[in-house]
Amino acid sequence: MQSGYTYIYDERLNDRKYDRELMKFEAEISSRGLQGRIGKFAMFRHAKDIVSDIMRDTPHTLVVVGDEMTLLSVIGNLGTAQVMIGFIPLLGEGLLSRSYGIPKGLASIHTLAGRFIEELDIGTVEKRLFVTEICAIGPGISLFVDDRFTIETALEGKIIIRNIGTNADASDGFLDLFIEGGAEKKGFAWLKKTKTETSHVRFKKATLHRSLQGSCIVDGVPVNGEKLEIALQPKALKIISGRRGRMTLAE
Amino acid sequence: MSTVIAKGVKVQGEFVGEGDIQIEGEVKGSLTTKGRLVIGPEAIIVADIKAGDAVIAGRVEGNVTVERKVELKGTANIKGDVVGDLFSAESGAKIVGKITIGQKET
Repeated sequence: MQSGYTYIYDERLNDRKYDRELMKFEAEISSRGLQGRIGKFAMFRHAKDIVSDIMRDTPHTLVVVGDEMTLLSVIGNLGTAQVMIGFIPLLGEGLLSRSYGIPKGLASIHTLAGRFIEELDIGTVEKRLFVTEICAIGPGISLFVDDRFTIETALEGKIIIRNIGTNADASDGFLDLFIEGGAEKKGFAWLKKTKTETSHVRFKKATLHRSLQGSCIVDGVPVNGEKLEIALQPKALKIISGRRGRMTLAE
Repeated sequence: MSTVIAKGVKVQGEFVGEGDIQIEGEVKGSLTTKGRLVIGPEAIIVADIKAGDAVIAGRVEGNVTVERKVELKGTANIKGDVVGDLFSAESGAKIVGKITIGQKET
């Protein structure tokens, strides 16, 4: 069945301290004709099943009500489902809301009602989607990039693969790889900071090899695996944005 | 933001950049960009190089083919042929190879 809006509430909104704000929120969306089915979302329990169940009704617009972690977790579990994403940051702002002009709290309903969309690139790591970045720390990290070359650090380093954030544009068709550290520092060399301590390479796909001694975090969630296939789906995520300058009107 | 390979980072294979590239680490294989390539004094390159412009201050083992200007710093040490349209070299730069300027070989 095709429906319009479906809302996913972070289960933390069950706390009674949010009752009043939720009542105001529901009254406002109802008065604007934006009401729809409501589902509860628990980030760390059966997240994939909850999202699959909600997507079964093929909503046109999926509105996440919570904070950035709720949003990233829902998107991460969407699989291949194509849906427009709205965001109501009742539980707090984050990189995405700030980047895409979505105000905190009930003011974000205006953004939702505006229905201006931006198309964002979205990353995949194995079969999971990611929006912001992958951060891998530890020894023995290397990447085989775009089927062309291998890049590795001599020593333990920190590798960030970023889609959205500092020095990364989510609409350029590339992921940005940043490698911090890696150079051996002797004596007082560690006191010196030069602008070339961070490597930067743009790419479209890569295989990350890592040691399980280190850590790997994708959109804030730890992942396992010594070998991770990473790729980019250009303009695959449609998000209702508050940045009017660069947008097209949604259907 | 341009492509940067910092000190302590190694690249092996066919390294192709979209724009400007700065190398302070190691590259083995081949290195290609249509933009400006800057090879720092501690960089080690064992690769054939193709670039729009090149400023070389480090060690290169391989042929260097540049569309426009090749600039060698005093610390440059090249084992290979250099082809370019314009050429400059500081005192102290070392080249073991043939230099062809203004008559690009294809």
